[in-house]
Amino acid sequence: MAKIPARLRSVTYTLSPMRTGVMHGLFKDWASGMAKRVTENAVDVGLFCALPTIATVMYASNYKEQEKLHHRY
Amino acid sequence: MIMKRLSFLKQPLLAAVNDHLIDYPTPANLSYWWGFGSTAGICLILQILTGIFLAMHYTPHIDLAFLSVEHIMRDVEGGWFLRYMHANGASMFFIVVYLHLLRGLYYGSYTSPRELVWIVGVIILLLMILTAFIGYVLPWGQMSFWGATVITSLASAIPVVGTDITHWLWGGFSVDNATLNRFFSLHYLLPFIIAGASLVHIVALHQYGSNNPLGCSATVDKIPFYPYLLLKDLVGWVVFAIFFSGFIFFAPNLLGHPDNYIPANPMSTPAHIVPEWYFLPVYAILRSIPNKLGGVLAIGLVFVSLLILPFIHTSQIRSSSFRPLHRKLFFLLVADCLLLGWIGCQPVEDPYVLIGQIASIYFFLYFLVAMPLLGKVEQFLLQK
Repeated sequence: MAKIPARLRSVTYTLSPMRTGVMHGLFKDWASGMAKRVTENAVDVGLFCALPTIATVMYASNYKEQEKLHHRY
Repeated sequence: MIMKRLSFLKQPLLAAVNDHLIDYPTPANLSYWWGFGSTAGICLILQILTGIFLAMHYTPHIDLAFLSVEHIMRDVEGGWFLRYMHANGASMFFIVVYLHLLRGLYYGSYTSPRELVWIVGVIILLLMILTAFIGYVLPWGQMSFWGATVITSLASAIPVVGTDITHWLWGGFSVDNATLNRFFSLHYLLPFIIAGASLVHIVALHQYGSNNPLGCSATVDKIPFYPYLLLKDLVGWVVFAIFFSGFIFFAPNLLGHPDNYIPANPMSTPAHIVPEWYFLPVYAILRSIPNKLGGVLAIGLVFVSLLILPFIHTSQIRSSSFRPLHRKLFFLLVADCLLLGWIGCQPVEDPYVLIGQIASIYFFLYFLVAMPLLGKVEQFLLQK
């Protein structure tokens, strides 16, 4: 049987997160939920955001260091 | 009791508040990333309130501006708090708005039917940049004066009328008292225009409702804004308040420049003129082009790229959760913006110039080439 959408105005004030029990599931399966959120984009963030940023900054600092040494000797 | 509240909320003005803040239907699956819009609203309110109280003690005159800021810091009861809140509040506002913008980019919130929401958002960003820039001039420190001189002089790159426009902006032949006065006046006016534009942003958003992490239309599974989303936003506001307080109470000058504690001196140019951190990526793009007019045009192109984004997006899929190729390019863009920000505060020498140029090229490639092409590539790969 198809679900009949409830009229929002009529239910807003009778709904409460406590009364409807939505808070019960808040910490259910918390560890795997968090793990999923963290690992979801970890590879993309690591490879395409952190790696290029760190590599570029390291390249620049190495370049400046070499330049300094070049002037010294 | 419930019936009483319902009839109360049916009154003309309250009905609008009810429709947009209480009963407003929101997708059930909104994540914490959707909380930055309301946090930005709070930032705007805080900036306006602290700004009004600061203006009661500030004097917009080149001989008194710097001293009046010191007077606020030392003599006005709680003045240090007001000033640090306002100065750091600008940075917080930009952090929140940049995250809000990146969320929109990642989840494709700019696509049809929300083009107007995006365009008004970009206009708000432009107004914010203008307001923050002229606000930074008001303390009349060394960085205020020289920052104003450098940025307003950019107008002189416009052919034929450039010099006249610069003089018109200055109100004279150099950055002087007339400039400070008009900047103060505009700095007071612009936040209210931003507030108006924010209302238009919200009205445009509420016409079609919020996008959601899945990017699909969620017309059936919606929940009222109050209490669900308000509670979720509240979590973000508390985290934001802790972060903001950390800056105000423990590192109030971390995001500022020490040279701005030296009174403005037109006879002494600082070694490095750097804008506030939130302008650094755009400043890096400006400096990466070895031509003044070219640099100014490149800054214009940054905002044009953002404005036309909804119209050059070709992908059938909205959310990057289901666009692995775009996700990679998106995170590269984040890295690119971080690098541009870093380059913006480095001296103009090797290897920073080359890095800045490569980063600027990627910035424009992402918006003007990758975005239109990626949808077609995705379509091709899906059909294979």
